[in-house]
Amino acid sequence: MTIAITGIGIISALGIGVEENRERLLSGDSAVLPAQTLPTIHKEWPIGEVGLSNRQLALLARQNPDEELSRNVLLGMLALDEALADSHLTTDQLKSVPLINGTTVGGMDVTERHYAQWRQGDYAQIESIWQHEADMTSAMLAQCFSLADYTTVSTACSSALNALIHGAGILRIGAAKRVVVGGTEAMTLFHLNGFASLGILSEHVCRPFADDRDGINLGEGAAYLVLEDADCARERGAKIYGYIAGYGNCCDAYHQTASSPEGDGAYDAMRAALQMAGVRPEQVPYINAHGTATPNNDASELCAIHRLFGDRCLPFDTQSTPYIESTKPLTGHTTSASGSIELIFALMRMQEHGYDFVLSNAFGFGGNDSSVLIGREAVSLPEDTVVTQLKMTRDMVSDGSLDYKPYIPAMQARRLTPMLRQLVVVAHKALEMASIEVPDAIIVGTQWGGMQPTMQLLEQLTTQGETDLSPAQFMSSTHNCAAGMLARLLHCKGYNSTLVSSADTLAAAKSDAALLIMTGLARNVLVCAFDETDAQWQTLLEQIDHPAHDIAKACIVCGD
Amino acid sequence: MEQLKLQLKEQIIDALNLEDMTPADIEDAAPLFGEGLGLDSIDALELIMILDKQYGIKFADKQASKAALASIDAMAAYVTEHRTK
Repeated sequence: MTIAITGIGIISALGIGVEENRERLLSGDSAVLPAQTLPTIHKEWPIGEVGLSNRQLALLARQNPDEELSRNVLLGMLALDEALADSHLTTDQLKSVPLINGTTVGGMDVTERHYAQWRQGDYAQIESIWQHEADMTSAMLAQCFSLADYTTVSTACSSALNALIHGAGILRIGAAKRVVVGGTEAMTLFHLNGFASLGILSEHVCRPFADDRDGINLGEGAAYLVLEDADCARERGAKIYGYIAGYGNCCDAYHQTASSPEGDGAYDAMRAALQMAGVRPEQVPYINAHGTATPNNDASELCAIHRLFGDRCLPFDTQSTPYIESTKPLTGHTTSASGSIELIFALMRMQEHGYDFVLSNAFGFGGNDSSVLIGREAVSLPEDTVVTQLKMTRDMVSDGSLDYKPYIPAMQARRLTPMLRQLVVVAHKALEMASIEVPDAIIVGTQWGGMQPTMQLLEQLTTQGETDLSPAQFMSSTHNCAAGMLARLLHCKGYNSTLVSSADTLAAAKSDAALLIMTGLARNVLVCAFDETDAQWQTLLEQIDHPAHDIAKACIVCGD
Repeated sequence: MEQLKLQLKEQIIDALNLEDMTPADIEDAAPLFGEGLGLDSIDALELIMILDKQYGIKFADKQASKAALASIDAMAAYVTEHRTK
């Protein structure tokens, strides 16, 4: 089948909507400035903010400005509204379109506003705590536009590209004719101070790939793309921007935050995208690199690009083929939204220069590396449903008391919370049961992610202000920490993803595994569910009658 | 000096959550990173925080911190010379 892009919508520090973004992308005018909207003391680290207050965003999104909506939802609404309107799908047609949304912060900005009061037992507006959940961001977006369904993908900075990959899988197995995919991420104190703890924020507009690069600028925004079965798109005379020619999601399986020196995950992801399309490296004239401007990322990514495209190509060199650019000095690093924002920038470059193919990279903590190739002309994806029957082992479940020591080296265990250690044990037991040493892919479902480190950081930010946070805790607070950790311990460099769900998290992960196996991208998948409780968090959740649970489950899903 | 070294080891074990280790498991002269104890770049950031909070030490650049964190011996010497509390 062939997948067409028939609608795009974007909001970033560069502007609201596709045209404002295009104009400033073409002029190369940076929007990275000292914080104005985010209530931070850190003016020394410039960021790419959407220059509107929440109230202004709400009015623009035709929402009641007195109702508290997370900034993440507000940004998402504006970009999604534009993408759906641009697709010219009717209200009736939208009812069968599912949203696949990438985000990590969820409603953290809302939690940050209320936490000081909640922790002291003042539970006014406690129902806002629902917004904390990343899946609630997606639910609110889907509801606002009466979409069919929603799924949340959270692989840190590659979330939006992995949302696209999940959406492409849905189209390929024929479960929908159209999907809308992308990501949203608002600036929060939590992740600004978290990235600061890693010592990788720059005090200047960032300089990707420069010898004197000294770190990243954070940014915020949202972007969505309507993907459609190309036959349906042509039938209804839709405007087609380009086609999904190929994609790759591979895991670096190297370190929690650092990329491997040779860029293995990045190389594998880019190569997989080209292979799926049947395209040779010399046919790709443009790469929108991840290019965060940390010394580590850029060295690793460039190494991976050189391995695949030859070592003569230089970033930002107009004579170089492919032309390699990072658009992060313009927008800042929009983390979970960067995948879809930068894919739209790549599409704009395709239109500007008439490129046949453009490749866009997004890499996340935990070595979650993804790459998507867009073609100007239709490219049919490899034979679609190759497996129709799935087999599953029974679920291995931890009661919290399994002995982890035979499975986890002491130096690895030091950064794992008790339930993460339990997860490693059940994962091993599931693999043993299926006689698999290294699975082809790892998928984890979670509702809240790493709540123990998250709560410790929130507590510290609230009681001590924006002081030095623990980098180890910040790394472990992302939803995809568990999947990345399993990949490292099991040496699994294949597909790696994390789904966030307020319902059955194992079932959510299994549905992603099914897409992978049915489209021939994996033969077997280690599927897990993970959640951990925290005493303070539990107290808050009890106020909304939604107790959290310690969960570590694993099973193997494979083709028949 | 011996007292300080013991104290540093205890602080490292606590901050980095090395729960199965005792101060006796960490050799004074052995490298803390890479081949030695096997700490990584994130641990380095955690150790820099310890030195700031416990001893009021702030590093001017990465090179200075790298040398100061090479081993327990190096840390103890650096703390003795540069501590402000």
